[in-house]
Amino acid sequence: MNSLYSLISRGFLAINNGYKNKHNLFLYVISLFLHIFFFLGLFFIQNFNSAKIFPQAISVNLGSLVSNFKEEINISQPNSVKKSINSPKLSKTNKIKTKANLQKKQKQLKKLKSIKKKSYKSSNVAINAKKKQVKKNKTDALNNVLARLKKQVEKNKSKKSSIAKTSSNASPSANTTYGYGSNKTGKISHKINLYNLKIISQINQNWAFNERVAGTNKNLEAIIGIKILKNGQIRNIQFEKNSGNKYFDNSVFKAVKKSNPLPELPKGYPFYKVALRFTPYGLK
Amino acid sequence: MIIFFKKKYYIIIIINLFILLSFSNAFCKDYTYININNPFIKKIPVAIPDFKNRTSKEYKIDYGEKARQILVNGLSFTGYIKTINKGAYIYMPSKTGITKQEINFKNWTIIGAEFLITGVITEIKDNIKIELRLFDTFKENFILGKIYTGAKSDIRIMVHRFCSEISYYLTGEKGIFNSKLVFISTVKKNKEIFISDFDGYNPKQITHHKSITLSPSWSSDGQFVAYTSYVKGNPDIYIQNLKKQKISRIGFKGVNITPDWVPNKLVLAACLSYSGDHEIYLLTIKGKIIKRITNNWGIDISPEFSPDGKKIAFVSKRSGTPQIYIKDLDTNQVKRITFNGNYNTSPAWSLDGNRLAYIGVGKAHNNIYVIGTDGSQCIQLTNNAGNNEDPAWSSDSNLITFTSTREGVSRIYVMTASGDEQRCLLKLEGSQTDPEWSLVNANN
Repeated sequence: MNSLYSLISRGFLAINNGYKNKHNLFLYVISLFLHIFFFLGLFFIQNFNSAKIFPQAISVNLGSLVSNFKEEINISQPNSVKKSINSPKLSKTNKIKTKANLQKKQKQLKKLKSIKKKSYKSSNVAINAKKKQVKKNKTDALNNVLARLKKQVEKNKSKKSSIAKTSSNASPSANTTYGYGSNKTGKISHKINLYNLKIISQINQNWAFNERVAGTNKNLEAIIGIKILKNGQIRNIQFEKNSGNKYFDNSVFKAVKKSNPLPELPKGYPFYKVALRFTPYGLK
Repeated sequence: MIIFFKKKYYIIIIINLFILLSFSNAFCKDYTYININNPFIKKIPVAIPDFKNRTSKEYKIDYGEKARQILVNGLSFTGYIKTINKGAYIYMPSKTGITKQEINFKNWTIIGAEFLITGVITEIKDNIKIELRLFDTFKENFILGKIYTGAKSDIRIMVHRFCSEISYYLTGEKGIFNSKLVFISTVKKNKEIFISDFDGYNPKQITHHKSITLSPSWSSDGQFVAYTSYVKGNPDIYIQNLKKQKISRIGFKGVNITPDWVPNKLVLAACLSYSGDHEIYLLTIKGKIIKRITNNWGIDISPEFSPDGKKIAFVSKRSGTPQIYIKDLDTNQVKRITFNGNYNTSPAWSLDGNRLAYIGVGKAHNNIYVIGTDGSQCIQLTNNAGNNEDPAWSSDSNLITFTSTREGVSRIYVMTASGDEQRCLLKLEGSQTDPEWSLVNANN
């Protein structure tokens, strides 16, 4: 860091000395750019992760399988459709137009009513017929407007999705980068949930643990991070957290090693990163 | 200028490092967390392939196979090791090599073995040399190796020493391989005391009273056995010195029953009734009363000391039915432990001090239960298998031995502390009862 400060101070010196040392200034500018690049990197690089299709944290509980699935599907439905309805400006103008139309029609109705009250008091039948006509007109107009709106919305939607597909990485904040419809992500999260269950059962079956050997300490927890390749091969077995109990850590490590290879990943996954949290609380 | 350029490079390196770090952060983020909490295998799987025999084949008895069998059986008494069936092995090191360099550990990890034990036997006339090695198959480590030399008749001792070593490596305790088993067996309608190895092997009769003998108890050093006998018509307590073959008698008026030694002392507690009521007293080895422990109008019987000697569990009828109580000898506080069932008796304190095994006398059958010394977590270990009685713990608290009438005659059985793998320990003529393991002698 000292060197960094010295560089900056040298840069300032260069400015103060009336650009005596152009070389220094040049370096200063470079460092400035590098800084900008660095901070931009800090901000945006984390979003470059294109493999982030699956939800971030799943805690799979064997007891409440079904409810979890439902939740996942609900969560994973992106709200891009809603957004696209709200966002286009054309639809707003249309709404205003329809409102204006409706107001006009209501005014006409009132006029008609007042006329009716004044002149056609006795002939109720005629009034009713007129009322019906007005109603018909009203509903027809509404239907037409609705149909038009729907068409426009669809147009906008198709435009938007095509944009999203072409520039998927360009807009870092939007959900649309995934480019999937609601059903698709739902299916994928379902698939990966099933896959998670497969992992759990396979590792459990390979996990040999004896509480007597571990001692009486019951608050054991170890987290192992693994990377699963497309064909199910396990790579990069790393302890994210040690339990502190040597035997427990060994047993957990062996369970992961024995479970290699895991089942093949569902389609669409180049790899899959999992943190396995081991806690033997089901024991007696 | 040169220094200046160097600094520039430093900065570039630092910036690159930062960028890399931010990348790594980004990757950490997309871990999916999965909880795994149900280990299917409760025992450590170990592979023990055939032992290599270095001697020529003139010898008819294959000591290699014999030693292997002793090792497999011995390790089953740990309660936490399971030997993988030989049929699953895809490789036989006995034909090639048994050292770390010669073993391909993938051959063993693929069948799920977490440890591998290889052995070599060399027979030298009447003596035998056994080399045993323990490997961690996943870490591909050599853990420990021992060479034992001795008479062929001592093969069990040698292999069990190695079992102790394995137990010590895994748990920090030597296990029960040095301990002895004492039990009662009927001989010609009389009940006599027998002593055998921990696994029921090699039983020897040590009393010849030709009478009824009951409830033997080991002293901590394994030199004395105290028991009740009706030799002289009255139930008296006898203390037998196993080395000197000396027997002394404690015979007060009334009954003198259920002796139990104070841990690490030659002092014992027993139930005496000379005062007219069954109460528990503390006695010297010569039969002098040190003090009275219980003082209650109900019958107090079956004393059992905690491993630290500070508490005593006993059975009392003070609440109307026989139940198990614990008395703190320092504070003199008495606490009732069992509340389930109308008749609970014969407490046995686990050597880790946390649990009591006892008999719950039921309407149909008697069963063995384990309960925490605070009265919590009561678990029934036997069910629907005749009468199960006389529980006693192994010195590592992993096993419980007991008697059962599930096959008709009363025999001695073993199970793990969680009630798994109940199996018959030994088959002698007559019926056997009252098993108890000795504590491991620290000198062995």
